[in-house]
Amino acid sequence: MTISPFSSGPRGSIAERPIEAPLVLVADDHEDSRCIARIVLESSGFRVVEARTGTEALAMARTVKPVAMVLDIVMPELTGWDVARALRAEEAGDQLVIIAVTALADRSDRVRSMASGCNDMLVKPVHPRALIKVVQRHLARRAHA
Amino acid sequence: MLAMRHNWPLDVAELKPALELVLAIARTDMGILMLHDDGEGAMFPVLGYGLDETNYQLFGSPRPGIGAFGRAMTEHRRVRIRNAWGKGEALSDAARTLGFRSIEVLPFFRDDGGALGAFGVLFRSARGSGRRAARLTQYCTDVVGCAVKHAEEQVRAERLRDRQAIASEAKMQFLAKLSHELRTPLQSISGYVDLLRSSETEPLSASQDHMLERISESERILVRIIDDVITISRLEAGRVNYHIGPTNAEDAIRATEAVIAPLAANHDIHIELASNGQPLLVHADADKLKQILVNLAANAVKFTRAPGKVTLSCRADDDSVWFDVSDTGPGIPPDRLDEIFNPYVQVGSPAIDSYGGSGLGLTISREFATGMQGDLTASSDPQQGSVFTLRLPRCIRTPLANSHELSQDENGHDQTMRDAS
Repeated sequence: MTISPFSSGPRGSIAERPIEAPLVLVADDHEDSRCIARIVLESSGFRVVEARTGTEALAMARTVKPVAMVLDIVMPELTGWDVARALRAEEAGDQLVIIAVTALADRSDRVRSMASGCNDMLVKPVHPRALIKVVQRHLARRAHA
Repeated sequence: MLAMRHNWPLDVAELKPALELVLAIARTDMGILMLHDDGEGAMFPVLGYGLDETNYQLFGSPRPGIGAFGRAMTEHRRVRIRNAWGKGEALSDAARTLGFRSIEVLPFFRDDGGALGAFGVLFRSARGSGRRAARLTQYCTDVVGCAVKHAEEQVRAERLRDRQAIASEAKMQFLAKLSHELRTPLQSISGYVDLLRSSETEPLSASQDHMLERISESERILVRIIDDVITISRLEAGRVNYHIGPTNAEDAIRATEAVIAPLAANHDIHIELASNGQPLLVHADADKLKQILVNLAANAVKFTRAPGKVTLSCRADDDSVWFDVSDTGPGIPPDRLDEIFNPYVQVGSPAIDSYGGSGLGLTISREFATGMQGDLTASSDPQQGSVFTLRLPRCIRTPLANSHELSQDENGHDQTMRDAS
């Protein structure tokens, strides 16, 4: 669990939002990236929890069961690819929307993200509106499936 | 054992038939092959015939000028010693132990005169080889010298290529790391600027919004520079892949117009699409074709003073399709038309904020054009504007229905977003 100076931490955020609001896990070791994602996701009606490392992201994904994950790739302990692969291997992992948001910009990184089970990959710098669009598009696709 | 110690440019065992041939021509049954080690500045025995490998060391490691081998090396000629048992002869120990009386050394050289090696032909009597045999053994030595020389050149070229590949790989990795390190802080800039501009609770004044727009624009320029530098180094390393297929020329032009329209509107430039109404197909990588056209059109818009016009059109003959991007800008002086395709050149070098490019766009576009078996040229009438012409091979087949499939460019960006935003 992480406390950001810009937010009241994951538990506080959950409490501020109606409990039925869909929950998104933002995993990134870069604080500004987490904060920007949180603000834009919350302003679009999501609840947000944050993780700072790969292991934290994996543990939180299992306990808080988010509908979507905004997942950085280069993080301490476990990479986003490790996290995505581990979650996809689990029974409940099928339904989760995983959007990789990374500063890795090579085409091969994209291929690797998709192969690890991410639904999409956005390259930093990502405009907040673009992030929301992609998250919503994939959630809608999941709902229709 | 000695042969294993040195990193000769070739497998010395392959020279065994040559040694046997030299000995057969000379009518003797004992001989040795020495190769020169440039690092050590000496010759080392690598192959023997009629003598045991443990006896190779009897020949030592001759240096230039010393002994029969050393003299042959220095004097660039065949050296014959009739009485190798003689006092003071460097090889007298070897001669007594192995039972040879006379020796002929046949050296071979590189084109620059550097020693490559030598055959040592050992005779049990003092007779040596006759004139005819001497001529033939010389031919044989020349042929071997030639083979060793070529093998060495090839190995050198391979090592150079390997070193270059390693250097190029290291450069790519460095740039990938640099790109990652630059994009992370850029995320803070771009994200917070966007949040400030879209905040409903704290609306901005027009001038604040304008300042933030300038920050956004600078952020986009930085991202473009990072992308372009990486693309250039990929091109240099030959690591750009082309997915060539039948591509609809008019689709490419329309897609370009869609990307460039907001920029043109900002600059008060009118975009005109000229078409002859006939569907044209080109052999191209659809992504790279669009990247070239967007780059050309963006340049045209940025270099044309409002109110101006940029025209995108295409024409064809049996073999080629030409895309023309023409503008009503100030034009390019004729003597600089070729130069603009070099990296980091902008005619008149306007300030970066009025141009907003990395200076690599035209270089990349021309490389992409060449990579697709086409070319990119420019012509200009000062005061009348410029025309950039991309030629690509024409395709007569029907297009595949996948031209919209790829939405990401080489660096993994959503192209429409990046260019249009």
